[in-house]
Amino acid sequence: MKQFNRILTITLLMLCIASVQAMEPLAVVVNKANPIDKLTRSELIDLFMGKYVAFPDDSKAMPVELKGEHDIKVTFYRSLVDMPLSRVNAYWSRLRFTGRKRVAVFQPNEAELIDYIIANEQAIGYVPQSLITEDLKVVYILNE
Amino acid sequence: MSLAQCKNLLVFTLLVVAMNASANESGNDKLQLSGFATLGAVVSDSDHHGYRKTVNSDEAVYSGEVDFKQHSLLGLQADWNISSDFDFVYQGVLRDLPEPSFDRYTTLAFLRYEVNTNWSVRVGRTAPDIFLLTEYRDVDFSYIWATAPNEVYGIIPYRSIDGIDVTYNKRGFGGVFTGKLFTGSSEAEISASSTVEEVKIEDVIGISLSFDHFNWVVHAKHSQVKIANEPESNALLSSGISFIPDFLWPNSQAFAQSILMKGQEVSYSSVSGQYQWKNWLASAELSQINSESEVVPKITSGYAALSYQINSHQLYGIYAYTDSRIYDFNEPGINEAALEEVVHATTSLMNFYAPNQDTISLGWRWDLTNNIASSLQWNYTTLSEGGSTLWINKGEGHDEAESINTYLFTLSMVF
Repeated sequence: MKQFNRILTITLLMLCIASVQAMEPLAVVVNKANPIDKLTRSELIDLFMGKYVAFPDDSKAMPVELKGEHDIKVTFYRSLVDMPLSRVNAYWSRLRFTGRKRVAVFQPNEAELIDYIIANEQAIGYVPQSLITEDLKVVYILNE
Repeated sequence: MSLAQCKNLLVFTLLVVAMNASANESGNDKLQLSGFATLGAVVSDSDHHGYRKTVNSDEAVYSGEVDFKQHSLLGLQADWNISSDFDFVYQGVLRDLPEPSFDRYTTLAFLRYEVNTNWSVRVGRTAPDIFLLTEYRDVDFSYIWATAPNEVYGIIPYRSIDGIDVTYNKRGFGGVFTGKLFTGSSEAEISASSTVEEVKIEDVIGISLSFDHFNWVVHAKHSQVKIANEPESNALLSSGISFIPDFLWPNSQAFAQSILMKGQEVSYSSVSGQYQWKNWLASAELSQINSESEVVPKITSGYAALSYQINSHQLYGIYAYTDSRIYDFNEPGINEAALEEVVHATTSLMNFYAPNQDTISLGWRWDLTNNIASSLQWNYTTLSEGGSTLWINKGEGHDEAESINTYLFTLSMVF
């Protein structure tokens, strides 16, 4: 019985952590050397939905995405454009398979995504706020 | 499957395997492979008018048949990011074609140069930006319906344009303006019940404009093309008519000349819009085809569609129509009794590009996962007499008005 209570407590704790993580604000980050200090929501939508892939100073941007179906990707698009990932994928399949837009750069996890942004001045991506380091510049916060 | 199709499939598979191996070897983000696929089943209830997706197809679906070839396809794409300014895209789409070849399977193969944020240039094979969906009508996962409305898209046989395009993008007025100019040439097959015609177009010049405000978008497109070859049916009939003596067909030479298509211009115009409000999505398009040719009449088409989203399900309805003049043989002073066969052949040719029908569709799309969706659609088509261009007419001489039910089920995915 004691063991059951312990398992139950751990499970509930993990659920709470997962819930906190799901609700954790997402930071849209760029390379530290990028002269842009902040973006508007509309600029962010244009950028991540492939409508106008540039920073406000008209310099080229390079969106970096997570490969596959990460929770933060689902949360990001739900917060940004209020769309489920299936609709975002349908929308992007139009741009990708018509060859209208260059495809985003994909990274397998948050750590490699952060490394990529640190190494590329044009890169822009999104990470949970807890993962922000001094090497990144935050230009927008979602879910605040 | 024929030997030629097997050979093409093998070449295609080898190419993809080679690209895949190269991508794995490079292990970086320079080369990306992706694709799309549809497994589509069609049932239709007409004994005479066979359903087909577009006028390319020389096969069709009649009453009592279940077809998997009209809508099923597999598309594979490689995106090679050469540098921050250059990239190369190759796409091949395997599907049932009347004249299969590696060239026909290749739908995209272009090099892009991004001059700056606003300007980009593509050289090579690109998708035709003639009407709203002509660039991505085969990517079924990308739109809600089981298929793009036949009334507007069924008549367009072209899947690609070989040439060059220049695109300009600019943010402003709370949205993004995009303008594109393109030029090039193309070729495709157009089929009827017993013939498959190769149609080539050249001197394509087109403009495509759009303004995208995220929850609403408007497009205007116009292009004109010159027909580059003489379809065999036209050449044969023209030659036959030109030999008819004047007492049977006065001035037959002039009529014979008028049914030749080579060198004639055809223009395509379209305006369309889409509006998203909460769970509702409304879209509409009006299009028109005009031609110098006597054989291609003015064709006016359009559709209006409404869909409603409930979680991963979308329910939708579409009304689509296409209208063109139907040719009745009434050339003056002709001995029709003596020339019955020629009159019949002339009428068939003059109505070859003259669709007249409307369709009411109801459907349900279900996003099974984030990358796979199923769509079930019922089409109720009212076909006018002599207006069955978009169908294959099985019964010789049977081109009567008919109401047809067609059921489509598609499982579409991207990967």
